[in-house]
Amino acid sequence: MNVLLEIGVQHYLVLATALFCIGLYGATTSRNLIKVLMSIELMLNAININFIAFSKYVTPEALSGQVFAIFIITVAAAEAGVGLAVVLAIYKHFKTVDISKIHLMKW
Amino acid sequence: MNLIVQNAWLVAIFPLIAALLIFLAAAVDRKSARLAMGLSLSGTTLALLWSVGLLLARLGQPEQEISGAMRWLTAGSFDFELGWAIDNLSAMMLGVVTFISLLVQIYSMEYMAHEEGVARYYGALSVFTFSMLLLVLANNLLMLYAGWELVGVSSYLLIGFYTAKPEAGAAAKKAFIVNRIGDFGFLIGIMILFYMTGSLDFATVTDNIGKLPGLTLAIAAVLLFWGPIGKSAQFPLHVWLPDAMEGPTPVSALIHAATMVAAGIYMVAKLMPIFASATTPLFGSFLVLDFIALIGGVTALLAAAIAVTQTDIKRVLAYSTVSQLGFMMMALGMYLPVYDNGSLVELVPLGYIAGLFHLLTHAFFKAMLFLCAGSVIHAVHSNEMPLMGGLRKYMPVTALTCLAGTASISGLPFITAGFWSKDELLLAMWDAKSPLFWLAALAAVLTAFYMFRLYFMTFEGAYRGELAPEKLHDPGWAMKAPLLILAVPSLLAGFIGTPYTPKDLHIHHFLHYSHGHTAAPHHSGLVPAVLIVSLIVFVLGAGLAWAMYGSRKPLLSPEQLATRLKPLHEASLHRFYIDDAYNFVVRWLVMGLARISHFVDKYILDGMLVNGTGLFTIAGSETLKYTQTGRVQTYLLTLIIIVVLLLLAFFWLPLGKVI
Repeated sequence: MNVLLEIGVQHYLVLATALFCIGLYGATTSRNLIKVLMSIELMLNAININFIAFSKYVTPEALSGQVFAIFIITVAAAEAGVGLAVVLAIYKHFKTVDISKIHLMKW
Repeated sequence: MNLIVQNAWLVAIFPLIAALLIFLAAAVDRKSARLAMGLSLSGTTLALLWSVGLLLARLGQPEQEISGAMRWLTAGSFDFELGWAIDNLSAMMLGVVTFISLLVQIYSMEYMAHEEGVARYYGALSVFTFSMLLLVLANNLLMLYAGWELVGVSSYLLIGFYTAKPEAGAAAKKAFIVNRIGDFGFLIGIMILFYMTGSLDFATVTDNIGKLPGLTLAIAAVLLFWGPIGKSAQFPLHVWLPDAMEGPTPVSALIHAATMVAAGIYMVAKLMPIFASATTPLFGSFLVLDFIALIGGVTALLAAAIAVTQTDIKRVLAYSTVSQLGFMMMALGMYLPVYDNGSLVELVPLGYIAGLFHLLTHAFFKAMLFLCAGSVIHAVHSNEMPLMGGLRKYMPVTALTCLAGTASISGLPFITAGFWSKDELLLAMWDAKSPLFWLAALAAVLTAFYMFRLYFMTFEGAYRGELAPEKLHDPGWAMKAPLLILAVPSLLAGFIGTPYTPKDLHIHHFLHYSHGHTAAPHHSGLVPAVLIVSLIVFVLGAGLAWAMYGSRKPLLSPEQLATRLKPLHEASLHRFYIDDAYNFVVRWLVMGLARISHFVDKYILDGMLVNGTGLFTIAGSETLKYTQTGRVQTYLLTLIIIVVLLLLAFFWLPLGKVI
């Protein structure tokens, strides 16, 4: 019953999986571009949790997991900046942020 | 003298330089005929001087070796060498080639005077002389082969000299292609020998020839012999030589009578150790030498039988050449088996010298006969003998030399060269107890018959042509002199081979086969049986020709004889349907195969494979492009589905481990 009482690596993994699936669902189904971007952020954070959890429980002496997490946060910030700029440009052009109406790259 | 012996290879270089200069001059000035003549003649004269020097060196010091080599190219651990080695056989050939080449070039100065493209003509003649000398000088199979192919090329150039005549072009192509068929076998034979012995040198190859497996050696020897079948116009590849008569007549005299076609005989003699080592029968007890003799015999009889009915003077001579080459081949195939404990250990060639002796005398009298024919054609402007006749009164010199040649080739006893060499041939067959002896005798009867028929139809009787007889006359000195010069050896060259010749001057002393352990039997004096056959042959053939064509009132009408022997006459007239058979084979079999491969190439290779690949790609992309919807979320979903499927596949299928 240790599993239920003490918080271990499994809990973190279940949380991360849940978060990732929510993000995935949001990214594939949302019509709103902003929502898609937000869902992607969720998925990235799910991965961050994974990194930190494994770092803590598998290789506590090394900090590589944490370093990765910080790196991902940085890149995610940059990505969010660029993504929002793209969304703004798209909005200016199409007057909409509905992703199902944007399919210029069609055959 | 030392200079000549040490630089023996220069003999081939003089004509090469002449050829290069001629073509260079012709490129600058197309009408440089005189310059071309001068260059060509001086190149050949130098080569002749060199050859005479080498021949004298061989006569004077037979044990002295004249050889050398230059490195040509290196392939892996193997060096190809440009090497030369002159034994008595090559020295003799050098003399024959350069001597006749020079005379023919002198003759051509007048014969070709009014033709276009004299520079091209002399250039090609020089190239021919060079290639022939290269072939003779060679001390290895590769150089022999190179010379062999080069004479083929120059022959092609010269047969097709009259570029305005479509027949000349066709004949040139035919000669080249038929020769290529033979050369192919020759090349494979060389490759087998090279593979088995690791060398191309004659000396090394013949030293190691005993180590080859018997059947391999026999097959290699037959393949090697395929080359001479083509080059020396043996049955069944003899068809090109009569057609080659489309070329200028001096060329026929030089290339298609005296030298190039003799290259096959030379090659068989040079490689005789290989042929004589092939003691494994091809089937039954049929050896490679039997094959050579049989091919020679068939050729000799067949060609003689065709020559009997031809009316084109050059064609008669062409078939005569084919027939005489067959005689030489037959003699080279004669051997004496030596048994040891009941197994065949050695073959002693019996007709080695006879074949080469006939090659020598034949070169003289056949070249002369062709030059006579050229002189006649020059005068009457026709090749057809029914349009000649009675020319002796108008062209006495030509008639006299032609008579000498005719007598020589027919074997007029004792005073002609042809008699002695033919006697040697028959003697070799008699010694070998070969049944081909009687075949040769029959072919010799036909030889005497068709040659005297040619002489009588051309020079005796009344003139039947359309030209005014006053206009017929002997040619000028440039053409007369070679005829007269060649008449001398045509009659006298035989005296190096009579039983009464002093030993030191005898051809048996000069040329001898020295590879095996057992010596060939040597005759002193004439063999009565052979002598009687020779005499009967001459009298029968010449007498028949006189009865049919020579006498005032024909004792025997040719037309009557033709109707009585209709099937034979028809067959002979149509050259025994061999050309027709080739046409048939080429038209139906080869063209059929070509059509099939054309179909396969066009519709299966090009159609299905090449265009099919393109069509498949186009169709594939036309279909797949609809998956490119432009909606990012579809891509994402596809990606996720595929990743999930892959994960499932890795878990449940034994494809590998994920964790």
